[in-house]
Amino acid sequence: MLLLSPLYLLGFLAVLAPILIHLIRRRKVTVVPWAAHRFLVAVTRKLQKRKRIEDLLLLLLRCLLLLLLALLFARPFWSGPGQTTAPESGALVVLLDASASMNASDGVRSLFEVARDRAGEALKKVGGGSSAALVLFADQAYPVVSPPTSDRSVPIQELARQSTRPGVSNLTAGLLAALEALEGSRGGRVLLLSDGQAIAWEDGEELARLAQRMKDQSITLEVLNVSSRADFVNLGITDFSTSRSRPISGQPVELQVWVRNGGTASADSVRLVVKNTEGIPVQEAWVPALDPGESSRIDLKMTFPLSGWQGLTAQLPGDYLATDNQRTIGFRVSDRLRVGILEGARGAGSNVDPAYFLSAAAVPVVGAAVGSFPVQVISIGSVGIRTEALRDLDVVLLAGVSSLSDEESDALHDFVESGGGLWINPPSGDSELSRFLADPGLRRFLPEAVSLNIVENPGYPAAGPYNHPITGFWNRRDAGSLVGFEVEQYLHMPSSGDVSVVLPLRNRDPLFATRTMGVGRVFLSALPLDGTWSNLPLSPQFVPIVQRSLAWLSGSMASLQSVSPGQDWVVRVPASEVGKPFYIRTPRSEEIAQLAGRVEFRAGQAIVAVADTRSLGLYEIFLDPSGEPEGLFGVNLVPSESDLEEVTVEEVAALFGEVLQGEVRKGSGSSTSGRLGSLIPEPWVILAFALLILSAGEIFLAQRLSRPS
Amino acid sequence: MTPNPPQRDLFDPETVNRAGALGLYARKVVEGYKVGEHRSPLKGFAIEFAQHREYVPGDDVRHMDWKILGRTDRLFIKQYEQDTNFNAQILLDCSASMNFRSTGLTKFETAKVIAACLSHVILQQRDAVSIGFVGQGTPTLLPRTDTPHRLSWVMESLAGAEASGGAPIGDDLLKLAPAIPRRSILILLTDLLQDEESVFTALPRFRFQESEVILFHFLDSAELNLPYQNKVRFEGLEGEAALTTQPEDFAEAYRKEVSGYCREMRRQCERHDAHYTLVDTSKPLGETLGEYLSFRRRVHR
Repeated sequence: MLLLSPLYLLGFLAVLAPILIHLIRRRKVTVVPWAAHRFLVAVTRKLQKRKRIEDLLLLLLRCLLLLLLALLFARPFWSGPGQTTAPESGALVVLLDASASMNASDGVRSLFEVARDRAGEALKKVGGGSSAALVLFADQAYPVVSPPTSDRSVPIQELARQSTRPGVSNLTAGLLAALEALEGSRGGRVLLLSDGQAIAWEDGEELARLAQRMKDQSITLEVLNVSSRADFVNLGITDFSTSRSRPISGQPVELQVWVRNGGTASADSVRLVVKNTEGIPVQEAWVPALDPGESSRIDLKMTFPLSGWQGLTAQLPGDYLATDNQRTIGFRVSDRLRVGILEGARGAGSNVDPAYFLSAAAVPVVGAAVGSFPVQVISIGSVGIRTEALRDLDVVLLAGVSSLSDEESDALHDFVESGGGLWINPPSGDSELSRFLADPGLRRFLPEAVSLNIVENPGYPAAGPYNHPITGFWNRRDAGSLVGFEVEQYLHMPSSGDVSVVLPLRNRDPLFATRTMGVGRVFLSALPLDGTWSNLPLSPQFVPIVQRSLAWLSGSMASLQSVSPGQDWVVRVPASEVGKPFYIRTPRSEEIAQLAGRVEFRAGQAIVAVADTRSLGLYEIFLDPSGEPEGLFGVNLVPSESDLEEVTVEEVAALFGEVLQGEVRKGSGSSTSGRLGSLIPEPWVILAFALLILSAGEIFLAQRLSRPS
Repeated sequence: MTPNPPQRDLFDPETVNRAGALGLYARKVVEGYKVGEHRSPLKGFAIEFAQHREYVPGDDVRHMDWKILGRTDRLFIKQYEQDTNFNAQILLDCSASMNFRSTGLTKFETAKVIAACLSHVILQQRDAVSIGFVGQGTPTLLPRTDTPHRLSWVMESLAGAEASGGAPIGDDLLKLAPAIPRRSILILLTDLLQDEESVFTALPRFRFQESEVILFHFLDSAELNLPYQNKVRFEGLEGEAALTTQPEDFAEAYRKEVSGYCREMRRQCERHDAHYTLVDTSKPLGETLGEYLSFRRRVHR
């Protein structure tokens, strides 16, 4: 046991008071001539010895009381093993890792709880005249008590209230905040408590700069790695998505779940379950056995009978780090894919309108079947190329359009940037083609290198294999062949840069290519597809190519299915809702939808923006709290946080060797003083209790023995 | 801390030691407590018949001879020898311990006042009283007197007495026994702190002589309660070794010891057919005397 304020031991001198009083009382004597001596002798003979003992006992009690009181003021505390001197003076910054990986648990206590206890022990050892600060870090730093305070009870109390954040470990931010807390002071020490996750130590350059700064300020670093398990399995779901970000009701949609073993031991095969918004399992599969560091993709299929917003959660059984064992996504199921077609002038040599074949391929049914076909084609004039009108479309198809006004181009640009799909077919007429290639409104969607280089040699499509999702289907043997049509001429497009080739010719020139713009996608055709440059529209491959291309174009999201903690999420809503309140149900609020804000008007669109994404799980947005949701999304752990590989002692020493205090300690077991401290109260509590008992005893004895207290 | 001063409505040390004043105050005490208005209870109770005399209205009908009345129809009362021969010996303990006082009068001075009062009562009723002093090694018994005008001589004897002895009073009592007439009333005023066993050894001698023994046990209020605080050195009045101690440490035990002792003295007295009265010197003397005389009146009715 050590003392925080040893000077108060001078209070021991107070014990002289009862001794002096005792001695003084002994000296002062009254003389009384006495006749009834015999009675005095008789009584004192019996009681003299007992009285001496009682006197001594009371004197001892009173001396002990004063000694204990002086000791209490000296503020004793339990010391750790090997600590024989008082704690260092100066400031202490406790830097506590509060990232999601600290939720790893052996089933009894999590790493964060262990680290929090160790931090509490360190704070209790802060001596009189010293100060302490508390900084937590996850994806960013959280200065809980900063700058350091001499009242150590403040960080101790704040520490008890802390919990983990769902973010990754950003050690750099944490150390920076710790150094800022010690700004202006010379000396001090930083106690880092973490699980030693390697990714937190990756930014070697920045950490080295911080190490130098610590050296310049004479600040030492003590590192305690609270993880203690050598072998553990940590299966985490690192990705979960649908093949089509906007599935069509009644149409099968593929689900892809990526699972990785971020632990140090091999994992057996486990069951993966996918649940809907109500928590009802809708799909399941087995994850194969995975070695450490190995990943596996699990493909599932399901069909959504109804349109509307849907949420899915993929779950694995709990293990060492349970936080990454589930992933949630939200998306909108559409009843139909809406394709808006803007036609240009009929080209020379063409007997049909530029969009004739495309329309027919998009909806390859007639009669009553058209109404229920999952694709709906809408003919839009240039009047329809307005931001508001485009909101209801999934894809816009420009068939033979040779120019766009600035307004139309901007509207289309916003449409694509925010997730819409754009299919561009060039016009077939020469003059229209020249205008097409020169029009700035259209050029912004084309690759830089598109040129009017009409190759006139007949060509045939390449036989495969194909590396694009649209044509990858024909890599299967039972899918047939795309080599069934010929091309008489085509526009030359680049096959590199940001362009992805969908279908090349045998000479590797792309017939179809795609590029992404913002969240949306652009499909580029080197052919007018009006039957003039190629017989593709008349070939049996045309309809599936068009169907798959439209599906791929609609795969871009109007809204993200999930975000990382702290990331904003946005959904478009009707313009009539601007200024109205919206409500949100979060993983924290569960049953009740809380008022969260108002619909904004941003970049020409009415949007709902959600910024508070601190909790992991499903979020639902409502314009009417009793109605259907207007948006659904999930907040999931950043995949890298599942990687629990630890930094080595050598790596730490290499970075912070010059400021490192002692060796890098490892272990989750409490120190002797920690165990002691958790079982036995603080010394001052024991002393105060003893004082209370002794005081009661002294009063009782004094009364019993008829002494003045 | 000194004990509370006893109530002294009549006496102070100077007064007690002056004969004239002592006699005056004794009378005041006696008259004040209406002792003289009644027939004295201090009468002998010997039953030896002496003679008959004719009844005169006013005589005590308790002594009527009813047998003669039955035989002769004439009224006669009996006369006893004691009616005409009442002797009281008042003996004062003169041991040094009687000089103790916590406040007011010493025990010896208090005993002198009691003796003076009793002498007054006895002489008023024309009986004889004799004053004696014991505890000095050589006891003294002054000549008996039965005339009231000799009261001043009695007061002088009392006023001039001093307590300085240390001899066992029982031995002195035995020495005085031959000089004390049979059927006397022996009134012993003592603090019984000096060899009380010798007193109880001597008492049977007086019982054999058919004398009545009355013992007044004098103890100061401080001796009864030990009211001292802090460190006190008690120096013995009769040469005992000094004792330094903290009285409050054992005051309770002391009081128990003293009250046990007093009970034992009372028991011994009763065993020897002697009457015991504890005199707490803090109480008013007249009250103490009046209580005793009232009691005696009740007993001898």
